[in-house]
Amino acid sequence: MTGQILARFTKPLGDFCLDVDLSLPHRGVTAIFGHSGSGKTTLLRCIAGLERTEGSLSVNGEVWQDANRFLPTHRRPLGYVFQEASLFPHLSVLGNLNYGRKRTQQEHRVGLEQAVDLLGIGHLMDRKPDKLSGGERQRVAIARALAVSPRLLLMDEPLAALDLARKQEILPYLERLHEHLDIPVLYVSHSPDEVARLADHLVVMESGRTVAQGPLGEILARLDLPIHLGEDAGVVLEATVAELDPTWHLARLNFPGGSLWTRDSGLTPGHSVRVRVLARDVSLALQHYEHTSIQNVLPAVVEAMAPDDHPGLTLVRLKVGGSVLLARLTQRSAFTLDIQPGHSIFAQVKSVALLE
Amino acid sequence: MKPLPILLFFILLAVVALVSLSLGKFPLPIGEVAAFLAWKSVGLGHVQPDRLPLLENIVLQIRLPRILNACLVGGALSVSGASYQALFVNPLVSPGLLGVLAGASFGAALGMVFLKSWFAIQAATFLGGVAAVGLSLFIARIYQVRSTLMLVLGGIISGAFFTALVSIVKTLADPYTQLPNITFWLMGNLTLADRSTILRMGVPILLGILGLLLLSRQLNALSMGDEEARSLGVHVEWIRALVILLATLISTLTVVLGGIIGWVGLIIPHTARMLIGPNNETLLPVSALLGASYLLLVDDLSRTLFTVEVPIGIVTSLVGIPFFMLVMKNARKGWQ
Repeated sequence: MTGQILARFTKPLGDFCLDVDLSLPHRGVTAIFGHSGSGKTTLLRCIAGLERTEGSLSVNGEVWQDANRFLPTHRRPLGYVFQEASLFPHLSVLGNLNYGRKRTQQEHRVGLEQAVDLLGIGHLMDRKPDKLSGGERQRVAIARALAVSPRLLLMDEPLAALDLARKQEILPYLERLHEHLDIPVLYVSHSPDEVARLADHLVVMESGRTVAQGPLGEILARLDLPIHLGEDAGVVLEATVAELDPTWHLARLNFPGGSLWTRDSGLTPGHSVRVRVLARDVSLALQHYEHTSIQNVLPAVVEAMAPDDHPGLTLVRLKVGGSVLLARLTQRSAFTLDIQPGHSIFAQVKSVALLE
Repeated sequence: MKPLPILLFFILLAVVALVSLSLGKFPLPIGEVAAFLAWKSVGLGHVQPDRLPLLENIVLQIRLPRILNACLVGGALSVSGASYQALFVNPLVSPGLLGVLAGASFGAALGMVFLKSWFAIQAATFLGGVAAVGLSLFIARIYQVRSTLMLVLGGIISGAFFTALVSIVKTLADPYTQLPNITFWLMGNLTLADRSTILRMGVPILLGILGLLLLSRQLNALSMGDEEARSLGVHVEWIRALVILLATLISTLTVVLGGIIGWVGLIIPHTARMLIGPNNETLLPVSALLGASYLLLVDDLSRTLFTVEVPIGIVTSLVGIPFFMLVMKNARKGWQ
């Protein structure tokens, strides 16, 4: 089928067994999320053909693997970014970028300049890999994977080997890839933050199986997500910058169903942004209180409730116009306020994390 | 590929070859040898006519084949060592890794005991080397793991097996006639090959070296690791198979030409890598030229140092080990 990546694999590996059946959109970033040992890297390696296993795989209608054929890795038009970048030590950055490029002369859908520009490595072209920082090396490795003009880009926790500062250095570049390229990306990660920032589509894995797959917003808003995000539970909203308040350095963001005020970090009106609202930052009130420090109060309807990790807590799913928010509160407040599905209520949003 | 270092090392080899042509029991002035060669090849230069038969005899008939032999053996062992080191991304690897030298020794020993003709012995040597590598590949294959570790272990097993077989042949050999021959051969010796053998082995050796030089760009890709190379579109299995085939071929042929000559295939690639870096496109040709020059120099020592010629395998070890200890300190340098 065109427009889709269809992957079905079964691979017994001792106690562990990979058993997945995925149909993913052939566009945007699909995050494969799960804890260590959940099989996400194995899945990525199967898709790359680095692991040979039973199953089938087709990318946008092209069969890469089925019962009769197995396209070896070197013949699959893909780019693979490993956790730790390994570059050719004897070649300059430019030489490294050109290396893979020479093998794919037939189609150049990503220009070398574009790859260099997107990753911001223009000033490094003449350097040798041993003169690069960890973050720079990884950016070169990503650019090299892009420069071969892949039809599918696979990224295996590209930030895992880097410290927090280096991660923050690279994330904006990854977001730019997301905006400017139409190559589908499969992104393996165990970081809820990276997933919230980058993904459009989410596959959640546990013990070799997929436990949820679907659009990011939909999956994150599920209460029964079998993987516990704990402190990181929350939703991601797509919003547009509606107005700026220069006096108080605030910006109003419109999302389907309402609007939120947030700190203005140099936003441009009309631009779309992605924001993350954590469940722990949302509290509930029966009335719209005037005398509160919380700026964002939204009318909402309780959709569903579910027990949280801790027996004293509960997760509440709220419908705010066309969007969904999650709120975390104690069982006791839920009882005292008599919060029940169907009730109308006010959601107080304490903080909003701007993701891009 | 950097042409400059290759040119420099080519000049080095030419100078060493010229010096080697003038050295020997009957010393000749270098200038006269150079003039003779110039006159012989392009018709320029002046040589005293009454010296011509002498020069013709010593330079062309006696010394040139020997020098070609040393160049072929040194070059082949070094290129094969450099290729193996790149393939296994390991500085400890030498051409004998997959058991080729042990296998060839067995072939040679067996030939000397049971076969009559020189040619049959050479053929047995070659087949022995190929058989040993075949065995190590087979052992690696049994476990169906396409990893380099399995290959290395397979090589160790195969090498040990064929070394044992050599000992068996030695015990069977006639201790007065055959055993000394075998022992002498295993020490490494450039005097054994005659002109026709050198020509017969020279062509495939040069072709093998050329093949490895053509694969040097692909070898670079493997130095990054299998999976990265594959994800960049490199056909890893094919390249590995070809490199092993060619490197095995040429190192077996060196055993036919000069017996077992150790250390060259380990030291020279290392030294070359330290001098010009890890890029195989330059490293392989420079290794070939440096290896040829080195073995020529060592051969000069082995034939001039004492009145009796010392087997070259002994000299390569005696000269090579201290030399290697000197450069070992910087051994990591060339890999970065």
